[in-house]
Amino acid sequence: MPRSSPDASLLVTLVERVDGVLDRVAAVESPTDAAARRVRQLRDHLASHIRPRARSLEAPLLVMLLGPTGAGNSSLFNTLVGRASSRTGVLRPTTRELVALLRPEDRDSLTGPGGPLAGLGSDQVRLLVDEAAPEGVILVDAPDVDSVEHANRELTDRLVEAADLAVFVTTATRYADRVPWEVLGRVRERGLPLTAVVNRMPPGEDARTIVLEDVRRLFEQGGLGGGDQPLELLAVTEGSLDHAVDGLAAEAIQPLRDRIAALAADREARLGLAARALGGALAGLEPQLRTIADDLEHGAIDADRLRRLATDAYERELAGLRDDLSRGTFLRAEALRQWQEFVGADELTRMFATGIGRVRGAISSFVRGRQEAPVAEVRDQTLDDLVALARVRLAEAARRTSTAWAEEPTAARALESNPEAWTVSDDLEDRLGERLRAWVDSIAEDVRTTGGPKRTLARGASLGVNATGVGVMLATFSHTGGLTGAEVGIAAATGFVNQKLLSALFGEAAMVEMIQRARQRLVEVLSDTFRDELARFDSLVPDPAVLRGLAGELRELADDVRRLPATITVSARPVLLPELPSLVRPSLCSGRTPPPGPPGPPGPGRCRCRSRPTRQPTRRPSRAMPRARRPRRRGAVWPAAWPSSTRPPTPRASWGWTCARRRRSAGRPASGSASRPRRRSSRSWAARASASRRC
Amino acid sequence: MEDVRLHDEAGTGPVGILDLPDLDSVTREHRLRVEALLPRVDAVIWVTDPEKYRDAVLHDDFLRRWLPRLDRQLVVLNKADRLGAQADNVRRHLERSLLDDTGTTRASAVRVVTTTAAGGDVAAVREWLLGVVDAKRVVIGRLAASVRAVLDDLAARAGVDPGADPGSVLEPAARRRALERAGDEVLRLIDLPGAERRAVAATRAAARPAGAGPLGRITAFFYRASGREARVADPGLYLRRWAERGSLAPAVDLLRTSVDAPVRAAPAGIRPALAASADTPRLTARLRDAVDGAIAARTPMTPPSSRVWPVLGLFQGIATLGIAIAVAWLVLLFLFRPPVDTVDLPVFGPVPIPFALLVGGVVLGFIVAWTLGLHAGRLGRRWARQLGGDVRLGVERAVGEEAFAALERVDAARRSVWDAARAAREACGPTLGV
Ligand SMILES: Nc1nc2c(ncn2[C@@H]2O[C@H](COP(=O)(O)OP(=O)(O)OP(=O)(O)O)[C@@H](O)[C@H]2O)c(=O)[nH]1
Ligand SMILES: Nc1nc2c(ncn2[C@@H]2O[C@H](COP(=O)(O)OP(=O)(O)O)[C@@H](O)[C@H]2O)c(=O)[nH]1
Ligand SMILES: [Mg+2]
Repeated sequence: MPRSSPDASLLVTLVERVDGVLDRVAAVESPTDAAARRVRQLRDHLASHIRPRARSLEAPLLVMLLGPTGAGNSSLFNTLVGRASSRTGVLRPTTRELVALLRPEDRDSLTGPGGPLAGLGSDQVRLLVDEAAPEGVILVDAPDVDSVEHANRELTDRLVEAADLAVFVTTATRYADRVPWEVLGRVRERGLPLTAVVNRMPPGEDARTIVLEDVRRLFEQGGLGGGDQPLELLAVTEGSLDHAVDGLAAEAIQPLRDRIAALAADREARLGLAARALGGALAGLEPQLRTIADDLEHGAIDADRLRRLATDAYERELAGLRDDLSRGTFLRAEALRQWQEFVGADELTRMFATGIGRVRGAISSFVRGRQEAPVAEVRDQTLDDLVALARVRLAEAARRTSTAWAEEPTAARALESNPEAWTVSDDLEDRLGERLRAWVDSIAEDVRTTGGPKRTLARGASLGVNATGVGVMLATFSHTGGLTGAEVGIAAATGFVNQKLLSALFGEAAMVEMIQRARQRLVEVLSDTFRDELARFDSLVPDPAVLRGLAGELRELADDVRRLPATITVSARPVLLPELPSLVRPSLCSGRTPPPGPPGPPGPGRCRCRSRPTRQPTRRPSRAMPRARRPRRRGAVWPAAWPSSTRPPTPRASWGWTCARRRRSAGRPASGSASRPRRRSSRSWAARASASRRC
Repeated sequence: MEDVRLHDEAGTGPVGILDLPDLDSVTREHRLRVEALLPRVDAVIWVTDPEKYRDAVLHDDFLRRWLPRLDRQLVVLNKADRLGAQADNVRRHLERSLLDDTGTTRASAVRVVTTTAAGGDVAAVREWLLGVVDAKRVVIGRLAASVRAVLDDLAARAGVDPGADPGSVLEPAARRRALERAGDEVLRLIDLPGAERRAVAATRAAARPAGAGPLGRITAFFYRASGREARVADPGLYLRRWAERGSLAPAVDLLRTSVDAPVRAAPAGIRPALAASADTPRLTARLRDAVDGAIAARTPMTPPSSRVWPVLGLFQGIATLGIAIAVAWLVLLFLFRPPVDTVDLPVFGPVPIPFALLVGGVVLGFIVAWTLGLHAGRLGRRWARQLGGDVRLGVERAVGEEAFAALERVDAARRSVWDAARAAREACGPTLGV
């Protein structure tokens, strides 16, 4: 094998890079089946054609027979081979495996590692090893592409990715069938040289002309064989059979036999065809890479939107929960009554009124000898209620998100296999309970450190650190600036008394700070829990950042493919890359990925296109191309403005919670926040948490 | 429609025949036209040939869908001349493949014939057409078939098996348990024992002005004016303020949790509707209104009164009067020392009348007050029990009605789908007829 020229090694490295990125693309979930198929096709194409051909053009040519069921593929194959070797028959479909005719020395290069058919099972390929087979050419009969046996189509699709020349066999009654045209679309896309055979032609000259003209018209409309590369078309009259070989009459397909014989006889001709196939493949690579990049981009946009739906629902419920907590009315009366009885509301109030100094002395004597502080009861009841409140909110967020997602095809599929997303996660109660108990412990810890010199007092009051902690905990929910003991309701009354007690113990300022810290930590605990629950939804869709990263890499690779020299030397032979479609892009959009998140309404300077390559008209696939891939049309995934009604309600204005509100705005990016619509993403959680520390 | 030709052939009878375009070519409009017309025709002859008879489009998109739905269908394998002796072999292959498609084993469900249209051999089709002319039956059969198919499809998506009772989405036992526990949670908020204590106190307060004489009226006035009566002796006010004694979240959470499992297990199509029954803001609001309603239904909560009280009040008045006279007399006695008579009491001997009057008044007053307390307490407790029972019943009924109202709507919808699907099966029969 001749040494690879520098040019060829350039190609090999490029192919390796593309392969590496595609491996990672294949690992993420594709937004649609079509997108997944595109990735699969390109990977197969790289592995089974471009990579082996980039290394060497000398490997035998792979010539495949392809067509709808019953068109006479196998009959044609048998005639080319010269004996009945592929089964033919009246029961459709007949052929269910690849049947390859080859010389013994070519066996390894076909099915060995790195070969075009590597990895196929023995039930998928049947090798007809024959010394007399044409040199340098491997002839393959493929199963049909359109019968009810879908496995046949899969196998043939694989071979389409690997072949150097396709012989498309159809009949006068079938040539306009839609399904085979899907496969021809792929043939065109990957630049595979093509020859067509129309079998079962009506005998009359007029009918013949009409059919052939129509066939040619269809092929040209489909972007195959127009212009400088006229379609090689062979017509075979109905009934031209040779029963001895179980095939078509040899004279009827003489041009095709001559063509194969010429390839077998002439090494240069083979290299020429292989170079043409590789050139076509390379020309097709860039648009394919860009299409996959666009698929990923669309996936990212979808994922973003879905995640935003979830984030909105969770943020809204979290805001609602904080609102509930700030009102303090969720505290259950039994617990409060117990606490009030313990603190001894009436007497304490009276004594506080007469001067703090006396009170401090009085507390110790008063409280000593009283009943045990109902620490465990009050704490547990309060935490139970807190958990119930949070669960109800989280369940509502999950329900809202799921209901919205169920209307989105991709998300609906993810939800269907994860029905538990409809409700809160099973271990939520344990997890949140544990965090809340840790929170109560942290309050006790704060009491211990803040208490400082006054700790003795607290101890002396036989109140204990834990009991004081419970007092602070209750104050977290009920402490508001202007509460007076005159308000009715157990919550207000207990809050008032409790607060008096705490300020007697710690002093007003220290108490306020301590309550604020406790409140802060509680918000963090709840935010963490909400974020965990939200993460369940995030994990159901691929990470938009990853998708965008991959799309960017693919676009870079596409640019690199475009920058390939017009001629590359492979196996000491120049491979001409056909004129690559030049890409027309608005200058603003060149090579840029769309900004993440919803941009504002389109205006001057805002890029609206998604850097989809626009082919020049000459290369553009015709509209009539059956099922040819066209840019996917999408719904309005870029909302023009952020609907203000979906913003969560503002928490009640009490000093403790306005701090939390300030944090919300800190989560917004500082730049352009005035002109750009507000954006909330899961990332803002972190920003908010850090802002909360400042606050 | 491009062309209408009239026929008067005796061989076909009174039928109109539509020649539809192909299903599978690159011209998509053809296929769309066929799809639009298929539901409107009375009978279908599917024509295929030896090359195409196993095409994916024909089987996956058409035969599999339509064979079980329409009543009169014939599959024709044309160009039999090309197959020669093999024709029947291929015909059977196609027939087997169709049976696999429709999932039936009865050969009569699908009829396949071979023809050679170019050679004029379409006898099998003619024969079949003669049997089709009973147009009325055909139309009814077709309607029935599509009704049945639609209902079967609906039933499948609602997770209902027409062969088995649909039951309720939520197990009755789980439902009862959830209701009981949620009801307990709500009652805990309402705090019936607290309300009952207030009811007893309210009865006592009501008895005071009537049965405690003039002093009772004065204390009752102060009791009310100080606001203490509202705080501890107004069960109505206490009950109406139930929402201040905690949150409905635990109750709502219990109800919501009970639908978790059914939501997860339900077919994807009805999950949103099922989950909507656990729409917690709405559930909370409905529960709150229901409880408010149940309490309001029991108001005004007027404490009972008794005719005994005025009688007791009279005695108490007499006792008070006696005490007053005695006190006045004693004052006179102290100031002017007039002579007084004595009464002879056993044990005590002669006692001056004012003293006897004073002691008598005090004793009588005490006994009357004690009796009043006892009586009002008994009346109050009876009333409180009744009140508590009424509220409990009302609340439990309200919770029971509201908690699963949305779920019941889903159940009702499923049941009507089930009824309809079953009726359709009975009326139309599960057969595929050709
Ligand atoms: N009369 C006639 N029969 C033909 C002609 N070409 C093929 N046949 C017959 O058509 C049948 C199908 O031919 P095959 O070669 O098996 O077709 P195929 O394309 O390989 O079909 P699959 O294996 O199902 O994909 C065989 O019985 C052939 O003999 C023809 O031109 N005229
Ligand atoms: N050998 C043979 N040819 C047939 C038969 N029936 C139709 N043809 C031919 O098949 C071609 C297509 O027929 P047509 O009825 O137009 O098919 P359509 O597209 O399904 O409407 C015509 O050239 C017919 O002559 C048949 O039974 N045997
Ligand atoms: Mg074959």
